[in-house]
Amino acid sequence: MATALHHVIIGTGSAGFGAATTLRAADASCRITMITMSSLPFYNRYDLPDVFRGQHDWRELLAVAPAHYEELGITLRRLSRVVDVDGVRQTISLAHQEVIAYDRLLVCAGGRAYVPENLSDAVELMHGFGSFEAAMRVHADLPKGGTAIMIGGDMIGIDLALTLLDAGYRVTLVTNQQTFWPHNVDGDERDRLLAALSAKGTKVVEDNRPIGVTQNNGSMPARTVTLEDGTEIEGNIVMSFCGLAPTVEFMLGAGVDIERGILVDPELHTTNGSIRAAGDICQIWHDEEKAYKFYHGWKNVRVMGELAARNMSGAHEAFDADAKDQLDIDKDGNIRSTFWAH
Amino acid sequence: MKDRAGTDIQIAICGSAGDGTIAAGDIMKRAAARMGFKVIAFDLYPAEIRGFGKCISRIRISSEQTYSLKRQSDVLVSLNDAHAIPHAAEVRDFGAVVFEDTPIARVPEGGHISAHVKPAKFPTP
Repeated sequence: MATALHHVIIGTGSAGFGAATTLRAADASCRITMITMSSLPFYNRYDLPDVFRGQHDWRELLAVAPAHYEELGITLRRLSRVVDVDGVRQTISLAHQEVIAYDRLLVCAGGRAYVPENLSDAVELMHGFGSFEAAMRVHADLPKGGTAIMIGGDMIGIDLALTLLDAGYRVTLVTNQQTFWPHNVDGDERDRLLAALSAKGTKVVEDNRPIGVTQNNGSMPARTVTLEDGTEIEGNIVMSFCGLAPTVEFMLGAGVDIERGILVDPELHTTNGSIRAAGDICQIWHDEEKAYKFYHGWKNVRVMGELAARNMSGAHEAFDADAKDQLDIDKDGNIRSTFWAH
Repeated sequence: MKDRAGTDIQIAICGSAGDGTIAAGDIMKRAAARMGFKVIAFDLYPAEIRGFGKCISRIRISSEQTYSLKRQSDVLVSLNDAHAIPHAAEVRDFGAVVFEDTPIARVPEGGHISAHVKPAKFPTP
């Protein structure tokens, strides 16, 4: 009797969860293990701003009930950090010294918030927003009506900014090249989008690079951001929203090609035959442009996860690399982005 | 006791003989009793005269008097994964499993208790 294949998925976000359910639909007998650093089962990170709309129960955020994993026969490993992937022996080492063997591996570990190099010393003074726990810390540390200073913006940050403004908080946005990441906008289009943000109540600071963050001991607001021209901005919290840095460190020994992300062909194969990658962590080959490109946003990521799973099950489908991202303003002055669509 | 009204939590501590399992349970039950809670506890000792058998200390701490242990614990503390893994299932949904995150030696797949914490329960390193 043939042994059931063991599919391991690193990452339990939109791509990973989509892959797991697709794998199960294709093969009722395979083993599926999902590994995540998160303490919670899959929830939609795009819903995290809802903590400012009173959503404080993590159970309400879950995409599916915890029992669903058991019903599908999916083993979920939480708070488990992968430290190494051995692409020859086909094993994964976890930080807590456990070794897991796989037949096929799908890497959808995503990325972490990128912090500009010149502010890396101030990371401890900034708030993250990449998890439910981080979102709740922001909620706890931002007093009602208080000010959040956002460096960069990106579409994750702008979503939060609009929610904060709607909930009665104040937002100061210090713009940079990543302000509308992953959309690539400039010139008049950028000006129109910034004007739309200002019209919603955002205080926009342009052409002035932040060079430091300091803590105001014993006084409110708690943080000061110093800009290149010496201007100081005060706020209760400071957050960096400058796009994502793919978390690829644990893949360095896996025998896959890595640039900024893991390089894959349009079928999401890496250069190691038993490993695929999907989601924010991978760069997909675009044959016309002769370049590897990132594709972000919930829809792209979900599609990639499901596609990778179908290909792991024997299909040979290519990712639609021509999927266009859109960013515009509707007639009511609201910013709309395909990045948020889910 | 006003602010503690409604408290009813059962903690199971599981380890190997010599880990201090029973001693840890003893400290917890005395501390809870001194705080004014009602405490019921039951300790299980290994049958072995020599060697490292399994010890479990179960403590139910409540604001109102209770007369038995609960079928499911709210928290399981693992001092030894090999012994505690079979008890991971006794934790109720949305309960927590507390464990050591950095064992000193490599373990095979499934040898760490985090592998046995079901999605509805909380792994707590």
